[in-house]
Amino acid sequence: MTRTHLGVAALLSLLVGWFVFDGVSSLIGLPALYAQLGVDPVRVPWVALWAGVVLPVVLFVAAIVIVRREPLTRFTLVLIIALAATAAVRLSLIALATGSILL
Amino acid sequence: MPRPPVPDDDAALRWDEFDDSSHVKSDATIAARAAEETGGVEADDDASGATGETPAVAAAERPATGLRLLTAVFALVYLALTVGWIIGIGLVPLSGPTLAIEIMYQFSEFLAIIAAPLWFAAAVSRTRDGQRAAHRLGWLALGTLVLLPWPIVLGVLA
Repeated sequence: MTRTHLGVAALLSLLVGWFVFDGVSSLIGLPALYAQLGVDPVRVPWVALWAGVVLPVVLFVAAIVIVRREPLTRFTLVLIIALAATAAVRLSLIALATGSILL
Repeated sequence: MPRPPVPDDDAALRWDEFDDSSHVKSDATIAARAAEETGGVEADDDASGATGETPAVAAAERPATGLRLLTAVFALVYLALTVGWIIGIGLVPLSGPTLAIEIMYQFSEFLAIIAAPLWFAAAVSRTRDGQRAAHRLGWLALGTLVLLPWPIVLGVLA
């Protein structure tokens, strides 16, 4: 990995940081909201909440490990795909955790 | 005084103008001309080797038909995933408490929509040489699982 690779990874990790921040917010906020609404604490979706915190980091680090020897363009593209996959998984986790589907 | 060359009325109907700068010799023509120049059985062997090797190399570089068919099937699946996410983001009621968080929510929804086409393009381009068929199918299958639009799936199951 060159310095440019590290720079791109550092820049895109800001977005990973936001995903982690959002996951931690949900991890703290959703149980509190459930308690406020009088929902049984057993129904708090802890697995989905913790996955929301851990998965962004796991996907991003896995992408870096897989393409660390690739040219810069491909390296950047794969990291962006990892972020896009993180965004999709995050929405899936929210749907699974809250079950708030408006069909 | 030299006589002007006799006009060839059929010149435009032929593709054998070797003096033309745009003329490109095919492998078969090159082999045939080599055979003519050197003569004998030796040149014939070269010619058959040249014509027999080229399609083999081309076939090795080109993905197999089965792989191309499966890639086409996965293309349809990924198209469905993309459409699923376009519909699915409307089913997850998210709104940010502040403008900055709202912008990030919108941006992450945009990322979720483009995830499937990007994943497909990257998986196909990284395995374009046809040598890594299992890798391509593996990456495409993994992407199908990771990018499954659960908001839609839950909505259908409900």
